[in-house]
Amino acid sequence: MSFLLIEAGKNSPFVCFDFDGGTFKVGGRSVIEQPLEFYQQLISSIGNYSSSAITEAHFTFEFEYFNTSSCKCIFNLMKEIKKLEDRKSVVINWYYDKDDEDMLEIGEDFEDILEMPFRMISRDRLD
Amino acid sequence: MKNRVKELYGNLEVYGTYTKEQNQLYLSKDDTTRVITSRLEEICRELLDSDANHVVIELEENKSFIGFYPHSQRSIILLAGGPIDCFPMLHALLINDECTERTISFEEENVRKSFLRSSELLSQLLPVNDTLEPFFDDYFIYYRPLYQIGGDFYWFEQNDDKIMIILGDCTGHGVAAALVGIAMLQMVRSRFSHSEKELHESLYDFYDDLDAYHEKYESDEMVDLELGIVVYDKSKGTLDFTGSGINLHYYDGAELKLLKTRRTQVVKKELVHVKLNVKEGQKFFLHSDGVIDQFDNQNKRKLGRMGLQTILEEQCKGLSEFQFIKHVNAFKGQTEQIDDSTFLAFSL
Repeated sequence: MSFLLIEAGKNSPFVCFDFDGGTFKVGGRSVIEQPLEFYQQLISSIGNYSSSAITEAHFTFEFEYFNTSSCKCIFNLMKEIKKLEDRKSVVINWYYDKDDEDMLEIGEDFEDILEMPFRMISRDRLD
Repeated sequence: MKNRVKELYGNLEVYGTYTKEQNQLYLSKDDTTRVITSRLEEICRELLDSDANHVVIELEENKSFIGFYPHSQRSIILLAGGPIDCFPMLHALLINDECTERTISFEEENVRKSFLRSSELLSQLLPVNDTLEPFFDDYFIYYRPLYQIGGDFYWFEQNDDKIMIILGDCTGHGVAAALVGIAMLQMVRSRFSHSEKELHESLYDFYDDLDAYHEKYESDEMVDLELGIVVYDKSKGTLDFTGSGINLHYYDGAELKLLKTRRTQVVKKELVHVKLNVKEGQKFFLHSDGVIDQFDNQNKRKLGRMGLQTILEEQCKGLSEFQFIKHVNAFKGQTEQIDDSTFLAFSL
């Protein structure tokens, strides 16, 4: 699999995983009632990616909102990304609206708990 | 429109019309009476959320409830009668609109009734506000689950001159989240009621219980809870607060202050526990994240803490549920609610 592309839905996030290029983007809104299934496919694909020959992995998270169910799934995705660190150089960009302190703090919490450095990037508006 | 309905089909009972005003639905039975029933409101909301311009609820043989919403109108007309009789009238009324419909089966209706009954029962478990009367000069509770009931809950418990106020926000929405909420509330109460421990110590104990609950029942790991807990001791004039993701805003008579908490503080053993000396005129606010996560009328920007700050500054001048709802509704416009939303306000 070279790409995993999922178009953003009304309440579900967009996904753009380029496995050959080593770039992974997910963002938008995640207000999915049953997010386990949605995020499990992302987690599995990252698990499979660990054995690829690409030595770098750049992750970009551009969420404008996610509910608490999704938050736990995103955290599980982060834990899978953390495992990549054994084999690859991992960079995580965490974008947040400049007025959205909560989104910044969630990123900081993930960074803290997982002990992974995040690049926190403020934007005027995440359109 | 109602007159035309009567002209066309006099034997049908016209229940009234629903009109959207600042995203509130009012059933106008006549020019002077406005009523809201959750059943009718639900039908109307379903109609507004769907592409259909009328919905037929088949109750039982030869009896139906019909709501229709011509795109050219701003009101939903609600009718009761037999479905066969109604259709010619609907088509006559909808002559200028493309006629699209959604019919809800008897079975589906039963499921919906069951859901509504569950919702009513669960709503009745929330405490009565009278408990607050002896403690506060003024207060109000804004409780708006995403559906009829949800994962947000609140609880008051009096113990002599003390009152404990709990606001909880469980993962998820709807009846499932509400059932989890009830289980969580029982666990919270068992840890906090009549406890001699400091508040934050009891909160650590609660989360130990939650871990044990997950382990024992091998439950879905999605079950989680954010809490805000206040204990006001009227005789001592003190207020204790701790939380795990729910903040306390308070107005000390001069400025608005924020006591922030985070769910991760439990893991890191860094829970906040604050004891305040309080006096008359001070105001306290607790809210679930659904309040600040609501998107605006353009569906672009969240209310956020800055938006909430504006609302709270207004409330500091004097609590007003009306003003609060007005502000929230104006911000939200027609944009759909995305989470359970609860706001508790108290004035000493």
